[in-house]
Amino acid sequence: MTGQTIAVVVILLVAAGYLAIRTLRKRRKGACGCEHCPAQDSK
Amino acid sequence: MILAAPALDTVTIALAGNPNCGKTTLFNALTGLRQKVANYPGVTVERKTGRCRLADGRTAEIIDLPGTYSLIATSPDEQVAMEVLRGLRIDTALPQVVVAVVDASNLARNLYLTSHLLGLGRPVVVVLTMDDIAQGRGELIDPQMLSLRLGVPVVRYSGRTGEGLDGLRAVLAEAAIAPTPPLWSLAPAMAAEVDGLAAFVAGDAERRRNIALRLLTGDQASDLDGARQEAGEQLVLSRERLRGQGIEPMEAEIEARYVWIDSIVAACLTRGRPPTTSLSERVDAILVHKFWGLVLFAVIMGALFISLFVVADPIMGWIGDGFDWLGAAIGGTLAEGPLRSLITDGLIKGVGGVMVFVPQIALLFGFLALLEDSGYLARAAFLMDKLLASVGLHGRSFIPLLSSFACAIPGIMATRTIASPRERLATILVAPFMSCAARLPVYGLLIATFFVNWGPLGKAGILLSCYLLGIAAAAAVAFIATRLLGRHGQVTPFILEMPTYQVPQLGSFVRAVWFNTWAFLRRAGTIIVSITVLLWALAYYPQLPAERVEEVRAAALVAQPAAATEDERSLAVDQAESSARLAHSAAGVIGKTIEPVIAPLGFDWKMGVGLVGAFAAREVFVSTLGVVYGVGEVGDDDTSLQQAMVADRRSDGRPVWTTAVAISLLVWFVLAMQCMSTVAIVRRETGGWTWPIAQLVGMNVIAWIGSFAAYRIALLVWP
Repeated sequence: MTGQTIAVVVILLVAAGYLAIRTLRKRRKGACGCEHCPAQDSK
Repeated sequence: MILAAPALDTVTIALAGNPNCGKTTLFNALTGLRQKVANYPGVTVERKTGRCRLADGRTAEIIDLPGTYSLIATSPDEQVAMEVLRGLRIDTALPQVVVAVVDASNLARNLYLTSHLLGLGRPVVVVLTMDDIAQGRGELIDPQMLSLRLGVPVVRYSGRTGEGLDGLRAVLAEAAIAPTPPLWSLAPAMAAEVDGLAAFVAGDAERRRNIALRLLTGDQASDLDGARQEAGEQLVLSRERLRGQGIEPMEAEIEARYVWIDSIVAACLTRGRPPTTSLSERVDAILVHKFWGLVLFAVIMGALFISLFVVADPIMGWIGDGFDWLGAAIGGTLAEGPLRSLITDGLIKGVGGVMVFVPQIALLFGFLALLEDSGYLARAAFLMDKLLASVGLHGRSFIPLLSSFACAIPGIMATRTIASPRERLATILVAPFMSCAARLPVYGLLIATFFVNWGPLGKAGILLSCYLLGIAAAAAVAFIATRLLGRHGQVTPFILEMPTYQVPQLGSFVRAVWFNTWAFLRRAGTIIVSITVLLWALAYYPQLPAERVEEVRAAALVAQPAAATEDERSLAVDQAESSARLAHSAAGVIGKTIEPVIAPLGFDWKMGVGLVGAFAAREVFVSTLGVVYGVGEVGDDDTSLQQAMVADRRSDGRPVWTTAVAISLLVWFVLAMQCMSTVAIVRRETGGWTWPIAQLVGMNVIAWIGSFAAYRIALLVWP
């Protein structure tokens, strides 16, 4: 496996991990996840 | 009544007041947070919490509540305020201190809610806001006298200068004494019924009288459920006796409160000069005029759309050039391989393609912030009431629908201000037809590419048409939906308080633009980047084996006519290779699978990949095209996405992208429901899956039919 391929695999895992964690967190908090969203408590 | 000073280090304080009296401005000042503030009623529809430090060092948990005119809730947002103040919500602690935010320029009406708050049995602090507007009208309020008459501390606070905040922090730290509930004289018959009913309710004399009065006036709050049962038949009899004497209990109570309020206003308010027609009223004579109001509304909106092209275009060009330079610079340092493709084709062409639209987003939100802060938007809502009523919606639907132009999610949440469930549901169902900010990059790309010679006015016209098509679709669906839902429940009249015109504050304008632009950038830098990276992988893998590449190139060369020049042959062979590579990838397989469904709309499988990506976030359509054309590109990486789209050819040599296809795609993006976050919020707000699923299916069927019709008609004009 070349260096470029390893770097690509790492980036793909980070992107997929980020999306997965975000979806799970959203589900737990019940917030919609939208940046405009007033549904989330401010702090 | 004296309550023990809270022993804990944290004190819970609720901010209550009429809509648009400045609660959230005060909340932001106390907590240092940046909740949305605008010069129209109904911005806050859910309670918000933040923390601040009081003068004595204790921490206060501040709760900002939606505006309400009384503690008798008539809409879901007022219900939130009432329930928090009465301690009926499991998720919110009972506030230990209540801050009654009172708009000094509407003293009597604001004191009506204060009269309710004084009866809660908890310490109250009155904060006078908008005193500068009252003074401008020649109305001088004596805070000491007001404090004396109400029996609670009164603090002046200026949202503009922040003056009075320290004083308020000190007063809040000391607020431990619950005021004596105000004593207004009820009509003798009413007073007798209250006393009679109180005998059937448990508790001390003061509580019994308070509860009896609330029961009699028809308060439906759940904390009265027990008392309602205790009173039983007596409550019905009491009401009947009063009505027999021509007394409507609720009206009689309101009247009695206002007699009390009028006496306080008379004692505390001095008019320096007789009331004259205010500037707001004079301006309103034109802005809410039946004819000129609508003309000015059209002019203002037209100016907004033209500015999106005239002002934003050059800046967008610079940003695009910047990304192109970055791509070339990074591409030059990395050897050919997957990482280079991921960075240049995936990240720079994909995400850069979305980032280009930052100036348009900033302008759109800047313009809206100016209209909001000035107080114009409430007038626009008033103008639209008749139009909205004609399709079965409510004047109060305007602000939710308008918010949906930024994002449907806050728009759908803002429907909580609509009292009628039928009108609220209809507004929720049509809100996603309003073109949200996420659609702007798609519109921008298609308009800039296929209407290149139309000039700023023509481009603005097409963009405006997209927005108008969404509005027209919303009107048509609302018209049908409200009839299908039936006219259950009473038709609620539209009463909207016209906020006083204010010169927009620079700070609030800059904050609004920054907040929304930053939100867009953050979205591009997190979700869009992640999805684009994954889409890049789908478009890059699995790779076409080297021997297949040679076969495809050889076949393409053979297929060339003998008369073709060397350049033409080379281009055709490169294009055949890129198409074969993409078709072999996972994205290609997905696109080809859905192609039969979208082919009648003029879309090819590459657009299909974009449409699938757009279900994660609409902007991803732009980044997907960037990736698809970037990955597919053979040789130099110097063609822009727009050039690549125009140059793309089908296997029979016809262009993939035509004006008719662009129009069909625009119509699809106007009408389709693609946002999963919106589906989630509709489920939450309607309390089930029926409506979000009906909306998702319905809107996409409408979008398919609309795109099909638009494509066929456009083919007649641009064959």
